Amino acid sequence: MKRLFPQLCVSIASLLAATPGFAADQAMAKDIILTSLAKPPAAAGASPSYGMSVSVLVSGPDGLLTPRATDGIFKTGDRFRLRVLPTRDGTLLISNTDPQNQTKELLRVPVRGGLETLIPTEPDNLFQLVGQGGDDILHLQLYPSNLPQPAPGTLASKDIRLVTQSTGSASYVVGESAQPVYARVVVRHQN
Amino acid sequence: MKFNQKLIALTVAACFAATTTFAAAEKAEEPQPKIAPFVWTILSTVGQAVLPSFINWLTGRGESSAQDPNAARSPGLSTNPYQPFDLLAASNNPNSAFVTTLTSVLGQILGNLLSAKSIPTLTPVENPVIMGDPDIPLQAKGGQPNYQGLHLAVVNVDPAGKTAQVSPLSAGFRTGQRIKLRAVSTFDAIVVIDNVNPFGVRSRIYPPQGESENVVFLKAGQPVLLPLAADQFFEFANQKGREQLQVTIRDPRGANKPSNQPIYRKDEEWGSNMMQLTPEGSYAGFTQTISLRHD
Repeated sequence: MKRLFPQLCVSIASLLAATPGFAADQAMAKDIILTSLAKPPAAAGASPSYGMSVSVLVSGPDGLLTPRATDGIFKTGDRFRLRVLPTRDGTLLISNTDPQNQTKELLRVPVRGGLETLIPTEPDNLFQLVGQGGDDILHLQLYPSNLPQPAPGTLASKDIRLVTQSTGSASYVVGESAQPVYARVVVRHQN
Repeated sequence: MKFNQKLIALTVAACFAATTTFAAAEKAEEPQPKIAPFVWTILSTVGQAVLPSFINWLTGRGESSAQDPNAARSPGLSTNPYQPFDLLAASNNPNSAFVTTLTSVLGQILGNLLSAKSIPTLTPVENPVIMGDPDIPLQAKGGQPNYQGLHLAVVNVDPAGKTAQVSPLSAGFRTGQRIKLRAVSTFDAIVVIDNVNPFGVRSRIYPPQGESENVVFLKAGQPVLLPLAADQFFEFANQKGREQLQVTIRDPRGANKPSNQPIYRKDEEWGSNMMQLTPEGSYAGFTQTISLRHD
């Protein structure tokens, strides 16, 4: 009986493996167990990741602001503000690259983790980009407070952007805390 | 200036007799503002989306599905049985809302320490209004929620003087339409209503001003209709241009520390619901505009 038991197990296993449904189920189960996109839960303490939520708040005729993700389509004359919600304290640098490919820094705004900041910060001010043709790009670089701020005019590489996901009303950008996180807004000028 | 006089005449003088009677009754009762601790949310709603939690609280549906009228109810507006909020759930109890002076309200909070310098003027709140849900979830620190909320709706008054259908603020109002405003806040609040005429001139139209600045004191969680008197209403007649009503509702403790956070608003068929994050040490304040429509 002792010798028969392993043989019986093997036989049953072979039989089940030969069954198409079982094989498919097993493959599926294997996939579920082994294929995981999520990283294991982080240990207690500060997360190595750093991120922000960014929305473009488009101003309507009555002054009400409608949030949109940064990958939306924005046109010449759209008036908007930016809403940034970082996970940690830091400094937000906003630069503009115009259709002639000239880049200049516009603003440096201190931001607080867990609190929203609307930019421009003055209640009556709005961004409005006007041009004849081509694309205007607003670059948003968020430097966590543990990183030195770059010299004026420095533009972060797009390679530092690790994860970006957008809903209808916001874009979520996550990066490593050793680097700034980056998002951009494109305003398309139409002739 | 003619615009202002005309407007005040339309809103107040149309029911002048009733108003004076009401004012007399108010004076006789002399209700005193009492700033009571009131927590609009419950711990089980912490971590949930902000506006749905507020709507559940508002309609007495608790933390359960907003679609289920038989769902368990939370505290908050528990004095009202569950009902769709397109039906009017406002009773103008003199203890829920009454006209008083700003100094009286502030005196209750700050006591004798009140100095002339600390009395704020009731200027509109300039915080931007974002249509949608906030990203920051509902939290409670020391039992206090991190958001405060406000519900406002435009309530039609029919020719017989009875309140009829309700609509959100974005619906505006039309020439000749008689309206009241339904308000519910999660905090004890002071309320004033201004008119901004097409030339941008602002004038206070409610409550009527006395020697010292009058305000409506609104208790947390109590739905009321403004103007408070049953037979008072707002009406604009033969107006042209961009005529507006501006409602300002503030936590009186925020005289010197108003919240600098944006206002999140969502319009439903039965009214507009707004939330504002109030970081520790700051207090809620809302200003909303209702425009005259020319269609």
